[in-house]
Amino acid sequence: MNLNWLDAFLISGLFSVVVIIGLALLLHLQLGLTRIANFGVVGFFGIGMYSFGVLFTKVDWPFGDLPAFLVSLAFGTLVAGLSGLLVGWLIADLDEDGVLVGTLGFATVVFILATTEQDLTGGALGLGGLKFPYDVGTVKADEFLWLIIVIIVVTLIFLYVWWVHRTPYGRLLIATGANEPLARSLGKATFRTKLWLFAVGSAGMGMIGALFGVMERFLAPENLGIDVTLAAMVALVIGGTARAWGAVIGGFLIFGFFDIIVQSYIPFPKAWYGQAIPNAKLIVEGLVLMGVLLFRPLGILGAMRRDKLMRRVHG
Amino acid sequence: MSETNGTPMLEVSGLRSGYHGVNVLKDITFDVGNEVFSVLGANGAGKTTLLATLARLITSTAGSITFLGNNVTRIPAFETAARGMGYVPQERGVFPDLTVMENLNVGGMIGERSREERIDEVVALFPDLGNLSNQIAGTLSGGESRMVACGRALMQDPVLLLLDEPTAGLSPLYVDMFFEKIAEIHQDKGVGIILAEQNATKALEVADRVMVLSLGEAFAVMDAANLTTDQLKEGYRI
Amino acid sequence: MDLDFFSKSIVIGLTEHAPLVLAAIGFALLYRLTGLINVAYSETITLGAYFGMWFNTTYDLNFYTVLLPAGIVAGLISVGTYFAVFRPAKKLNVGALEMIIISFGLSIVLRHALQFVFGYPVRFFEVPPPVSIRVLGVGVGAFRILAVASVAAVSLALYYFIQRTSFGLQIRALASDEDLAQASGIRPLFVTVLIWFIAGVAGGMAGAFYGVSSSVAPLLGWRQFLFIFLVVVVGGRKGLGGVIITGALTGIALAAMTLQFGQVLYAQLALIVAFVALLKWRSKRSIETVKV
Repeated sequence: MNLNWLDAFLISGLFSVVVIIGLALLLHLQLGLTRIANFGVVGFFGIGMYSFGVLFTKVDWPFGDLPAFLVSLAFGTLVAGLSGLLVGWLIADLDEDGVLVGTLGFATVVFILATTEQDLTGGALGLGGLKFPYDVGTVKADEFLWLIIVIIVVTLIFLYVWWVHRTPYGRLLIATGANEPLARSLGKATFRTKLWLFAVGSAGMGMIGALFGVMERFLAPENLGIDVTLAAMVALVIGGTARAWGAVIGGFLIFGFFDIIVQSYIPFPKAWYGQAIPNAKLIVEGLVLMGVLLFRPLGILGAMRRDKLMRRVHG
Repeated sequence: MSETNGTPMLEVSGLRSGYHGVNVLKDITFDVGNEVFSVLGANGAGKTTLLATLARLITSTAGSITFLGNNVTRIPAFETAARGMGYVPQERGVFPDLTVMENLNVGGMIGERSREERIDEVVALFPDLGNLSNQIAGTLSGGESRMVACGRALMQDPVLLLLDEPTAGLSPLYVDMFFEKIAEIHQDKGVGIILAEQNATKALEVADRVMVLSLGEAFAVMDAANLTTDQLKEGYRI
Repeated sequence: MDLDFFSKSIVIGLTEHAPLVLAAIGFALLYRLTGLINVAYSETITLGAYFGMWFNTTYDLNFYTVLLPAGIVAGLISVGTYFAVFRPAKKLNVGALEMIIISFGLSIVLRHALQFVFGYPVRFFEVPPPVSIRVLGVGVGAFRILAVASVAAVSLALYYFIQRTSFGLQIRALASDEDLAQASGIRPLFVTVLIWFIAGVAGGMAGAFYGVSSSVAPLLGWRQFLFIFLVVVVGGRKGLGGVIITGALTGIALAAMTLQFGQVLYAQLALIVAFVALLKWRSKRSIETVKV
């Protein structure tokens, strides 16, 4: 298959956008539906990535690459999910401060462990040895196929989130969303399901982290920075936290725009690509985050589109 | 504080006010001189909204408020306080995180008389406060809290004191004591008082003039002595 | 665990982490008095370090001459963020959660904008190497001792200011009940600007202390944010005094654990876990008391 037409930057650009959309969709489950402000997105992303990567590279698998990959992926996802349960339980009765501390603290702990456990993780230098669970010829072809696979995965995540919206419980969460006392008055069953949704979201983030690690074919703590959490939040917020579509639109709008269009098609001076452009990009992300939350808190799609249930509830 | 030459302390004209988009008060007009002026009315009639608007914590949507001859309709709350309006809100009348003495000291920031003199007067009025000096205001009982709230407002040396249901939820002993104090404050210190009350009976005992609010409208404004029981019942009927 | 270990922990803990106490005080001012969790406060710290370094290297001034100016610049920037972002946000009735995220966005903007101004490479103060003094058997740079003394002095001055002066009373009253404060004649804008300025000065000075002890980099403040926040959330219940004591104890604990584990990151990890567990325990306990 001749992929000369496909720019390597385009693949990695699209991949970044898809990853961010995936994370934003899962953050939507947590922040949009259960109203838990997860400032530790990168923590679940990272723990999934590293659990997967360490298991895959350190174990002497008695079988081939593909089964080893699947087992490791499952492991990474599971570890992230269990972490989600633990963190979710820890922050359950806490107020905003506690949630901030708990989630941010978790992400910091993950970062610390990735750096200190050098024997396992390669420490600050990172861990290589990851590869695609297949080989279709060129590296570019491998990457392209991986991109397709991850697109499919994120689409499945989208469908899951969309389905959650349609369940009675999902509708209930949307309706009570901003009304905390009301939500709290619904009792223990609500709490357990919220915790479950949070854990599922975390598991998904871990899985995405693992898939990201494969694309990079390298694990490094520098990939566990706060800008990952920032990107997911910006994508979610700009599209609107209330609807699943929001994450998708937000991701394409802000990251598709920057990563793909601006970087690929506008001829900036080469010298700028080193630091000036990534720096400017982050400033723009921060400004977008502030701007949207200040002026269009329901996302740039605005207040028009709401679930039918919301209309019935509010008359 | 002697009565000025017939000019009312407070003139309210055509006042409309509310919050969260709901118009609670509709076209309220009345005057208050140096007297005890009681605002009566059922729950939800708008008493609290009225007092909060006068204190400038809520901005009116129409009408005017004139205090001591000056138009204060759009002036910030801290400005009216500096000009001599003391306000004791219904529920949150004390700073819960500060001690009783600190609460009083906050009130003492306005005005020229010495702090010690004013504190002595407040303690003379509410002797119990003497023992509670260092207690955190948030831990006080209902009655103690009201005394501190009143004391704090009095520390400002106000010419007009707005009291929003000061005896709500208190034991009968405290209720009686408070109404005595209200009369005392007016008589001894010459402070004008606007008293919002649900307890019409007690209020009418101390009031010179009354206004009955009904669903945000001034149902009757007259001398307390002239208010008949029927008129009162009419006003409270929703 | 011998006496040597304890004395080392105390000395190193206090001298190395003195800026933490100062930063925590500044953050606590904002947090407890305006209810705001300002993630961008970490950038106030970073900017204090950068401006301190800039005054120091550009005008060839020694550290103690630039300390206060650095703090003042940081204070002014802090007030600037209040007028530019937080005051409008309050007028727009932004929710508490959204406020945190907005401050997070601001933090990112400041952190990267400053790199356009000051450049990307790590910067350093130009100060002569300090004389080493033995305290309780531990060698400490004279510099750091003076740092502790300065932090202590500033912390106590702030404590005194908040707790004992009339301005401080106004600040605390405004924090306790804003409406009532206004009705008592307190001018909210004036007092609020004062709070933001003081918090900024404290943070900026803490940043300068951090910067002169190691290096000046964009992540300087952000690295400390979680710990500052932990100290304030855990210690802040008992007012400024609680924050100071918790901050000092945290510094000592960090030093002790670093000595024990041989790795500062483990100490940080242990601290995070311990504090989160403490918060959880405290909230469970308060829920139980409510039930009774």
